[in-house]
Amino acid sequence: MNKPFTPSSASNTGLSSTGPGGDTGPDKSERAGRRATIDIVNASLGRRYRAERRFRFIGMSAVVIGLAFVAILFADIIGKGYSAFQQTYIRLTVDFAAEVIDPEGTRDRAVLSDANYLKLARDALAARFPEVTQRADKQALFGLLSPGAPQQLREMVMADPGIIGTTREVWVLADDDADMFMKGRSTPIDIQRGAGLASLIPVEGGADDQIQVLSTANDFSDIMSDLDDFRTEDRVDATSPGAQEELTPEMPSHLVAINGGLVKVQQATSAAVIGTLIKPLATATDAQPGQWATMRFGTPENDRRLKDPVVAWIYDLGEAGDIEKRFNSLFFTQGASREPELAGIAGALMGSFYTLVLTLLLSFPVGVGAALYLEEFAPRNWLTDLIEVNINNLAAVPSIIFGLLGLAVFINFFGIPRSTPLVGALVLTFMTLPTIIIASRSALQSVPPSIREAALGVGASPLQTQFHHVLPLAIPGMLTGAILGMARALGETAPLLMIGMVAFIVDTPTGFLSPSTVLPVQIYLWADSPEVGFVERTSAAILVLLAFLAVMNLAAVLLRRKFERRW
Amino acid sequence: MNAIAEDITRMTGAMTADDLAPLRDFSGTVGDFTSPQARMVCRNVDVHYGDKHAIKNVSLDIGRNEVVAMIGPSGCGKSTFLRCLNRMNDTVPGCRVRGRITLDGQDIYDKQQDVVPLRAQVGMVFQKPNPFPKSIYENVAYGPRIHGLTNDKIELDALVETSLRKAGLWDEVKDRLQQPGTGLSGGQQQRLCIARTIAVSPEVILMDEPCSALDPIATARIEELIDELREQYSIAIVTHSMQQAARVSQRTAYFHLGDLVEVGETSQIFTNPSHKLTEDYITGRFG
Amino acid sequence: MNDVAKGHTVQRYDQELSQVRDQVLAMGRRVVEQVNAATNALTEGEIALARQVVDRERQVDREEMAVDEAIFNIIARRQPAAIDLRLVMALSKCTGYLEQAGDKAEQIAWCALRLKDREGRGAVPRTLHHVRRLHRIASRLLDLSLTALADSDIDRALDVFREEGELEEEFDAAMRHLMTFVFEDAALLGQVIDVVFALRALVTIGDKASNMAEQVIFVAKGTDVRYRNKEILIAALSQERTPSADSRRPD
Repeated sequence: MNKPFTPSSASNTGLSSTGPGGDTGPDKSERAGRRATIDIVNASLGRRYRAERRFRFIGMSAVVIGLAFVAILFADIIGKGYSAFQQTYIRLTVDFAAEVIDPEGTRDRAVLSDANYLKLARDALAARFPEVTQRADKQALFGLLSPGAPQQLREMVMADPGIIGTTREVWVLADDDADMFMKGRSTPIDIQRGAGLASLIPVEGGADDQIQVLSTANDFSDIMSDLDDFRTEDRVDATSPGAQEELTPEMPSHLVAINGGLVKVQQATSAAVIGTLIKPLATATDAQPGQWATMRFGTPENDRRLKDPVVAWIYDLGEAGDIEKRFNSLFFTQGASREPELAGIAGALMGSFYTLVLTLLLSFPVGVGAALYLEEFAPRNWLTDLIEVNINNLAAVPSIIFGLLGLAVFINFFGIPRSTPLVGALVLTFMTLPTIIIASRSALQSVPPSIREAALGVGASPLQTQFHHVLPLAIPGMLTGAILGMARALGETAPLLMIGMVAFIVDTPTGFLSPSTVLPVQIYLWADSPEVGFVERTSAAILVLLAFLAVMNLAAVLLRRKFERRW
Repeated sequence: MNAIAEDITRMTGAMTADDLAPLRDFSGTVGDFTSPQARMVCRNVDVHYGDKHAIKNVSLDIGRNEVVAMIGPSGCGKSTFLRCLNRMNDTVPGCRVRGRITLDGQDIYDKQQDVVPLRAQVGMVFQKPNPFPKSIYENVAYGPRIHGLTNDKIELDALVETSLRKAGLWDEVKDRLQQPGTGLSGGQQQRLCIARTIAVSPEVILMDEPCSALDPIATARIEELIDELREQYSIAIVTHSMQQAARVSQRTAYFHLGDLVEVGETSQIFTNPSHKLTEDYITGRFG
Repeated sequence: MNDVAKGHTVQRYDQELSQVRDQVLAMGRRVVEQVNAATNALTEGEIALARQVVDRERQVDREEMAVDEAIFNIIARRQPAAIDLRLVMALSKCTGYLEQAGDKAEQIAWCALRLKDREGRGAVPRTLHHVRRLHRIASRLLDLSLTALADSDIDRALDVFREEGELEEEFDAAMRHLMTFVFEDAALLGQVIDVVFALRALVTIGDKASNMAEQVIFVAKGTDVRYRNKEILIAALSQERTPSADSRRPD
């Protein structure tokens, strides 16, 4: 018979510790004790609320910091990746010359397929820029075309041989360097409208293509400040005002766009620049303020893959509306490629799809079955305890171990073909099984025992009880677990590397036994590639992967919401 | 715990609290545990949960058209005993039942006896209303369906209606048979559970504190229902409310620490119990 | 034997039960006083005392109502069962019996008043020893039954049954004696009738004491022993109680 700890006894102890003078009688002391209690409570109230506020603040800060990191990550990925959903195309007027494609006139598909479409594309481009005559320049010009461009032409011809002999306007794929330039990835471009009246004067004693541009306003100060930044010790003598200085390829490039032509600045003073015409002028008349512009390419020419003449051609194409960015459908329809502009995630997506479908088909029934047996039917003894401990351990095993297991058992022992969705799914099944079993067991545990009793009470057999009553109630929880397991499997890379899904596979897989790769491995591969074009594609692929993960997690949440029951 | 120990000390004179020997040597049930029209006959039933001896040598009959109430302090074994009667204890790991329990002469713990038909014959209503999270109709139709009592839709409809009528629920739910049973009020849910139980036409209905989660009005309705059901079924009810036992039952059995201390006519148990333990419990002297 | 009103988990219930029993016992003591006073008034011819008895009768009535109310409350709020129920029922009945005994005391007081008026015509003083003797028996029975009720003591209750026979014997003897007065002088009939009334009242008081003893048995044993042959009862209960002091211990 323990006496309960009553408020009055508490208040009495409080009194004795704080106010020893007040005890004149039992009545008074009790009343004093009550007052003391409320005083003590009030005294500590502020401290208690402060502690609560502190705790809330810490909690909020933790959430804010966490969200900030996520936001930074997303901003970075989206910032890098969004441009990959666009792709640069160049409009060419292609002459599908019969003598190039099919000189014999047989219209044989093999002949059509083997024809030199590269020549067609190059001829069209050369025709677009007749002023380019030098061999080196031509090579640079042809570099604007993607290796995919001839392929495009071939597909057109194969689809409709009737176009042979005609001339068509075709939007062909641009090379990744041009693509990067168009997306502003190759150099920051700074364009300023000319503030003064610009006049053009041929340079005496210079080459034909050299020209001097004078401005009535201070339009070339940018160039001068760049010169100041790059002035070296040995050129210190040339700092006198009005002196002309040379621009070097180590410096940012400056171009003047005037009268339909482009001048690459080579020497500059504050009032005038001397440069080479890299695109011919339409007229040599003066240009009004605002009618001409100076362009600054922040990245020095030496550090760029696109040299200034090529930039000029792109500028020309741009002026004519012959180059533009379109939605990059190739990204979603193409498999892997060495060329960034031709690389897509379709193969990896299909590989992930086949692998995941198979993983779900393998792991869900096995996982649910195992959970059901362990939770509802298995006797409780040391063996089932051991199994339970091992399932929990399995969930914590590093995934690379599963990859090694898959390599040793499935590929080397059972001889399942490597890099196939089948072997990938088997490995991922091993990995997701513990997750599904644990989630399913907790879903089963959350079904109230009263339902089981009710079913048993009306005479349902244990199996009927499980399948008619318990399982329907537990299935949403199990599905949630399965989806989360699948999400984990979708993002898994390490074990798949071990079983060869890291191979470079161009073709989109068509079944469970065709070699394939998966999205995270594709990301890993692209992240490893040197081309600048792959940077944005890596980020874009990550975005796609994240979108799928988000959808799956959302599905899990919605499932839980929809089927959640209150008891 | 202390109160019981003290009580034992008082009862047994100079005994110390931890010396429970007199209770172990319990001489036998006071009163007549047999019933002239016995449907279930339990003789010398012992139940062990692992090391715990939960039911000690209990003999009790449940007769035709009678309500037997089982009362006693918490942990006295009354629920355990009730669950022996339709072998619900089978699902409890480590539970062993000895002794002989027969239903209409058939030993229910016989190796030949299948537990599924047994539970169809001995239905059970639980402490917490536990309708299936399905429609009201499905709740009632489930039992007949799994036992294959009827395959005919019209017959099944009739059976559902009869069961709900017997449970006094028909008028309240006839317009919403397809709505979930979990949407009903507590008392209605419990009556739905009773309807579900009687839908399989059992012979005996076991009720494990069926009103403990209900308010007095709902309780009164259940008690009225129990009284009506007595016309057709044998009913064994475990209850914590002595007044309820007094109100609904014809015979009352008092359990104490696994022993069946006393059985008797309810009117006798509540006015003049023979055993000191029974009297102390009934008059609120411990428990 | 333990106090039947004690040992509840709810101690307030204990208090309520003992309180109502104490009320009944207090009422019993008052009734005993009333009977003594009325008899004294009769035998000593004290008018004032007789008047006092008549006045105090209302007090007894009030006490009866107070007990009834307390019992009503206990039944409504505690729903007593088993021995508690029997105790409450018995107390309720005992109050009734005591009230009737109180009425009889008042009746004796009225007899005393009437006899005082007829004083001087002499048979009364010679019959009063019957009154005293019968009063002695009746008040002893009353005492015994109240003690039995206070302690739930079956032995005292059985003593009441053993001794109640003396009442009728004494009354019969008194009647025979009183008859001789009437035969001698019919004018004494009025006085004799009053004395007989008083004697009859005392017998009734003794009967009420016996009734209360029956209730004590009912509380303790749970059997209703009213209208049963008391000799057989005494024999049965004494025999049951001889082997062990308390048969209700489970060992």
